[in-house]
Amino acid sequence: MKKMTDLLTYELNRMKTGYVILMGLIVVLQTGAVFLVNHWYVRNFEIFQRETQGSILEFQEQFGPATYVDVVNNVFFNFAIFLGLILLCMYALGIWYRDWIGKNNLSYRLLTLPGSRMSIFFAKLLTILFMIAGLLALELVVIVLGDQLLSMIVPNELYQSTTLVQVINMHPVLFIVLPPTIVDFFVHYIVGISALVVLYMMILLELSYKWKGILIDFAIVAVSFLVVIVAVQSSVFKYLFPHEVLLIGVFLSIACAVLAGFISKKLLQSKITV
Amino acid sequence: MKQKKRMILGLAIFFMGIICSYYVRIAFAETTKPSFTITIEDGEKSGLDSLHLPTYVWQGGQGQSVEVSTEGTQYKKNPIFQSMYIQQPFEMESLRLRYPDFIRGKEAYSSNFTESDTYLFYAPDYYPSFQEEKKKEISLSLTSYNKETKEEEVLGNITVSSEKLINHVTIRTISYTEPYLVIQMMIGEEYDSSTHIYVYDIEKQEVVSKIKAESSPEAEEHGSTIDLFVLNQEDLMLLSVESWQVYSEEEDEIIPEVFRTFTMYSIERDEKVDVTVPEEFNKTDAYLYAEDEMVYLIQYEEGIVSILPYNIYTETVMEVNEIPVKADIFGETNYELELIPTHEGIMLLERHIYSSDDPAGVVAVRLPSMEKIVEGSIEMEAVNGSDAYFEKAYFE
Repeated sequence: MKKMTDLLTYELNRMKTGYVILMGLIVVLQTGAVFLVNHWYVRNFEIFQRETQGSILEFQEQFGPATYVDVVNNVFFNFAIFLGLILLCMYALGIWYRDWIGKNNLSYRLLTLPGSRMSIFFAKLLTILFMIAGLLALELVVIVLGDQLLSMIVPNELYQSTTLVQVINMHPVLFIVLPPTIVDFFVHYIVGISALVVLYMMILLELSYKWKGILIDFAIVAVSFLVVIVAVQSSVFKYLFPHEVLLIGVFLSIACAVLAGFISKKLLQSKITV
Repeated sequence: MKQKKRMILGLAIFFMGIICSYYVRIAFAETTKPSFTITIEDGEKSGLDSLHLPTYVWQGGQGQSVEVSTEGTQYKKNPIFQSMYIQQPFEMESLRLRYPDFIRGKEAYSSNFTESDTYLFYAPDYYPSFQEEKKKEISLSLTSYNKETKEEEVLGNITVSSEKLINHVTIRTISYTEPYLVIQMMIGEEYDSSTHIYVYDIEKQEVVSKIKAESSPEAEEHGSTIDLFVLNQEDLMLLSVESWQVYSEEEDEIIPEVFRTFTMYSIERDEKVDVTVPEEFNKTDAYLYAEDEMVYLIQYEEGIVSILPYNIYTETVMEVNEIPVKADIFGETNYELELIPTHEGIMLLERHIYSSDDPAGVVAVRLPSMEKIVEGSIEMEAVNGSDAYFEKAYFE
């Protein structure tokens, strides 16, 4: 446990600068989106007033009120979301390879540390989960404060408040990472964490067996696709009720994660090379 | 190092705290969930006592199912503990909960099922898999479930044949009039699809009538729908009413116009029967309902529900019956209304409630006497931005 927490602290310490910059970029881009939406409304209202001499209420009738949903649909807001998502995915892979690639790599020291080698695995996994939790929390805070900011800068007659759930439901990525029900939150993160554990097992296979490992990884992906296609094509899903399909999906995810964790342990203990 | 670890732990708790507060906030929002009150404005005081309205409520970006009745509003579960992956339409969920053994392995659409007091009947769709060779003739197995003995029985097969290869068969509606099952299905062929009606005699265990619904090009172009009514007089008749809407624009206002064609078939003689309906039945936005030997044209306008009955056998138009109701019971027109058959006759119901200020109206009429049973309203008490949709309306 101590080794794992030490390694986790070490991993978080290594990524903190990049992570803080990423968080800062997200805040700047998404706050910028609020100002852009305000600018659009104010500019278009001026044009509307000049051309039609209409009132602010007539403008609102024609263009609709300014809500945080407009901010969510803004390109800057979406760019920030996808930036966070892509960088996080890249770092989930990079967290292993940065220790194994290059001269004087760190992997040698990591593997020679006393204690269970699975601590390395869990430290890397928890680092990614910590990063995900941080970005989710940041997104929630940015949306709440962004809505407050929008209400302050947009003329009162034009502003309409929206709930946090409404905003999140409007965005396809936010809807998946922060689903509106706690059951779906657990379902998404059980499946997501299992996928991450399997991915880490595949990385360890590659690091352990090199080209053979890559072939094994391809075989795993191919077999997984085949199993899914066969299951969908067969009448097995038709025979099950939706809640049973969901339970089986969750159970299989946990089973895959446990199996992948077990294989990863074996690889780390006896097969991995530097 | 220890300080760093403490900071990491603190940050992790802080992040999780924010995420948890999001879900706690959703759960806490439950205290302001909408409630519904059914009020009788006029008519029999017990007229809406057994009315049940499975309703879908949309509030603050989140939907949930509730059951509305005169006893109050019943929320099934806190929506935060439900999953979007297991949500089913009310009718299908109700069937699954009542008859799980029979429903297992069958289509998940209520249009494939019909119920009588004793039986639940089922007709499957046909969708061949990619590997399966397409055929010109397929067989659909009809099954029933005896609610008393809890036994499943194969009633027999319907052979569906076509001159071209069959891509799919989709059951549109299935209804039961002892001893017949009337099944409306869409047969999809290559580049073409057509609606067919099969009448299956449960006692004789055979198809007694096979009808291809003939649609005019205009009806097809406007996406017509077919309503089937089994008219039970000396000879059992099947009245098929095809309706379609044409939208015209007048002074920036889009006005829908409803067109209808009527076709009647004798089930026992398996032949088409000539049917004549008055001109006003063919082109009107009024609702149409048929029962026994009568066809009713039902319309609401400015505080009056008018019912024009027509005896389809004797071809006699009877006097219009005007039922006065509260002027503001419904909106201005009947576009928002829905006609729902009941045990005693029909019910007109506004299916949507868009805000707390605009209750939904309901008027129930007894047929064939055409007397008003009850008129009332369903009020929603909710925070702004909530709206509700009655998924189904039935009397228990």
